[in-house]
Amino acid sequence: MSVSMFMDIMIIPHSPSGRRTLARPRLCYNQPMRWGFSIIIAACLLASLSLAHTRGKASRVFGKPMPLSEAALSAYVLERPAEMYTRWKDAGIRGRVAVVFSDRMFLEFSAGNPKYRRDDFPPYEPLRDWQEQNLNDRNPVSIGLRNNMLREVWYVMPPEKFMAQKTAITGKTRNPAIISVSEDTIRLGLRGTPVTITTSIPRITEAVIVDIDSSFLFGERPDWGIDDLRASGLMTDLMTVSISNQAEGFTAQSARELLSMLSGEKR
Amino acid sequence: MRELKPAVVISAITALGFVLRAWGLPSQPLTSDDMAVALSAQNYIETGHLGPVMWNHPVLRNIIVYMTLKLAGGGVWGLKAASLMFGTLSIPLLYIAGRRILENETAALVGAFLLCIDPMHISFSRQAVHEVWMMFFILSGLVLTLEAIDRQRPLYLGLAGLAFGLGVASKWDVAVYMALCVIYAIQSRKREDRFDTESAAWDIGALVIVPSAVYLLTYMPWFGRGYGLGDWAFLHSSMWRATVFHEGYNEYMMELDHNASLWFIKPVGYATIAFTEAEPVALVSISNPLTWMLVLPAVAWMGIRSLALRSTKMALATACFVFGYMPFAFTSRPIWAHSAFSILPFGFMAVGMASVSLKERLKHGRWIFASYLVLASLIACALYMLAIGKGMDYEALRPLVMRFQPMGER
Repeated sequence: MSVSMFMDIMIIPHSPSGRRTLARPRLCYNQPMRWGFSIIIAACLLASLSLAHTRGKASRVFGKPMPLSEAALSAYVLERPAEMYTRWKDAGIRGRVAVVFSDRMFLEFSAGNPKYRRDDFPPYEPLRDWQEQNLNDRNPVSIGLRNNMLREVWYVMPPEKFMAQKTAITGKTRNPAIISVSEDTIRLGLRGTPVTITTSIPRITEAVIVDIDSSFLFGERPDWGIDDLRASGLMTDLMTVSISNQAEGFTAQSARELLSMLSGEKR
Repeated sequence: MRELKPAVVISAITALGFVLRAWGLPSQPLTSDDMAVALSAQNYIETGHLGPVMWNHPVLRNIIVYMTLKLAGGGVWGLKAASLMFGTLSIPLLYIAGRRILENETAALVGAFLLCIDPMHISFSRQAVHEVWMMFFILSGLVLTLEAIDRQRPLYLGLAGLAFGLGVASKWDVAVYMALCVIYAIQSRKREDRFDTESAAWDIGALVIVPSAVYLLTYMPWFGRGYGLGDWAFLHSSMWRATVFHEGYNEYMMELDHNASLWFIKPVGYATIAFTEAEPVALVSISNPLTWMLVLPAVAWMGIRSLALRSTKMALATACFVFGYMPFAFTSRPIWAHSAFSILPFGFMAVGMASVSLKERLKHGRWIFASYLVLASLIACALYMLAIGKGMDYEALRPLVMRFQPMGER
């Protein structure tokens, strides 16, 4: 507001009786200008809606999408789950949906905060760097979300593991993160970030990032899911197989065999 | 000169308000909330992520605090400049709004003075959290709406929409006041036989569409994470759930007054603990009983007067208080006393009007009126020391500070 406008409001002419007298209208609503303002306002809203939506979509970075069976031929085998973050970073992906086949979530949030620098700007070290310093096998998905490689995560779990997660999540009274719970799906909003846990492979039309964790395939039901994966219709430009239960006998060689099965090279 | 005199008085009150809010600010230890506000601002602008503090509220604070931090090169002033500015400027805005609504200079000045010395408002104007911002945006929107309607200036209504948009982008409760101003604008036009569909469409456009566009634009860093409008709706359902289920960020918060229905019935308090290398410092803000506890009868009086005088502006102020207060008073979730800032200007306006009215009607009214202001100021002086974290320096105030010690440490 300009100074003259402010003073205009401050110094209101008063009649001797103390009642305010209205100033002569300067700009009547019935002038054609009102139409001009209305059009500008409507245009502003449409422009901001369009700007917001396109900014979001334009921020997403994809590679070349392909079916899972094809992607299996060029998939990465990771010795540790933490490496999936490194692969995502190397691929330069951004704003993507990830589908993680696993009985664990790799979603541990970094404890604590970076150190506050009272008289510096910015007051904290770059947050991306700080997040990466805290990368470990329990949090690659969390760091991927925090650093905007991912915008949404779907977890596909074996039914028995899903039930255990469901009990853990819904057991807490008034958990505000729960958006909806059904028999085979839990929808969460983690500070607004959509996270879905389900027992069936989701139908997602855009190309997704896929990680298949050994805990999913070689847990309690070794054969579970291969055929479902091949028939899922999911498209991906980046696929990883991470080994989180190497101690149970699942090795890089096992992972490669798995990928051969998925690609159809080996039956 | 007759017109300038109140302007001089309100300028002096505003200057006093600024001094009270800024005095000793660099030496006031930072609270964990202050630092978390800086982190949230950096987090939002750098990455588009919400939080860590108050992630469930809209995002304007992150943008403005980041800007002020950048302008000031970091530090306390950069962190708290916006709260200090909005807190101080709410004082003259309360006067301008009061003057238009009550049509009484003295009552408007009293209302502004009560806000100037209010210890709780002072305390939060000295903190980085944005609790005092909403009052500023509500009063700005209200004053500009009244100006637009009274003087037929459509552009002012657009500016009112901008103010309300920034308000809603701070906290959602500002939408209540925005809606009341839309109703007021349309009703005023009907009452004065100036109603036509196009003008009403303009009112709604200016007071609903402009704020909506402003609100949306504040989410641009968030959209930069790759989200679309559908995801934005999901985010808001997530924010809404977190707001509805909010029970404080730590157990200590539940030990503080958190029942909104008691705000104006008894003195209520809030404390923020700043942990320093020496010893913890408690910023204890307690409502001034001589002002807050008069609010409910004064608002009732204002409501009655609005009917007697057929004053739609007083009715609007009363409605702002009632409809602003109701969601807080009747909710089952805890609500802390600083949430009262949105309705407080209407309460103080009413107290100003009631006290001036009594001054004119009672025998020795001038003495009673002067004594009231002096007493309220004296209590405010004592509570001020608590609000700026100096309570433990005064023997007489220590018991009050100790009452806010966490249960586990008593």
